[in-house]
Amino acid sequence: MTPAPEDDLPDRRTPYAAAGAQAERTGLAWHRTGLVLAGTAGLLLHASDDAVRPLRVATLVGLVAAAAALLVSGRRRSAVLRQGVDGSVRAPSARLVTALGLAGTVLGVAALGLALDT
Amino acid sequence: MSETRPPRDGPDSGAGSGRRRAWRRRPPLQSVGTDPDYRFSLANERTFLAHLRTALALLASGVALAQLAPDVGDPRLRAATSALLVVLGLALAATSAHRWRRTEEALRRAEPLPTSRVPLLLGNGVALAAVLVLVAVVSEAWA
Repeated sequence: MTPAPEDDLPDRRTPYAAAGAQAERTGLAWHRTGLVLAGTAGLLLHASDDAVRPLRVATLVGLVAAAAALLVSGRRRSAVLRQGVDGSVRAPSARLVTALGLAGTVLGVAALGLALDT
Repeated sequence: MSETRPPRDGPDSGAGSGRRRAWRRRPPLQSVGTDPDYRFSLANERTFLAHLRTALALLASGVALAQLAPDVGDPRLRAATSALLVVLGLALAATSAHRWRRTEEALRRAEPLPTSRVPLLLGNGVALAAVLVLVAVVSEAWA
């Protein structure tokens, strides 16, 4: 019996392909988050023209953290995920996750100050 | 829920300083349980990132409402709405890492995933903020 033509093609449902898709989605999620972090920090910086100095400093700290998250974490995490698609993918560093949560919290405090400053 | 057990081979085992042990009460993640299916771990990672993005969107919405829409509705109503949005975003950002950690530990221990009230609070809070914005816009249109 002649096999169907599609049997000659790589099976996209193989675990390797699935792992690659998972890694790609996760890497894109890191990049999206970095961009949103930078955009939010930029918005806060723009909105804090007339705000008191500590708010601007807090916003600048958030902006620097956003840039670091975008440039370092996303790129490194994507590379790790691409290399680990054979199933040896590890969770991200707990410190990195905590640092990202802290960056969001710092931006939140600055945003609260801006919201109450009107 | 979050029982801790001594790390197998972490740097805190042995003669680490007391201050450092007090700072890092939790054992290293790799010493908890066994490696889970990578798909679950990556899904947990993406969920954390989605929480963070949602928090940032809430922060941006609150600041934009407070700073970039000075003529919409009553000033007190606008300030209350923007503060509500920002507090929601702040709470979400502050708890996202903890939530990721709890879920990752549960995955590594093959335990049921921890429940959280955050989605309920978030949904109700955003719905309330939407109602407040609607009131502000409608009152502005009829004024």
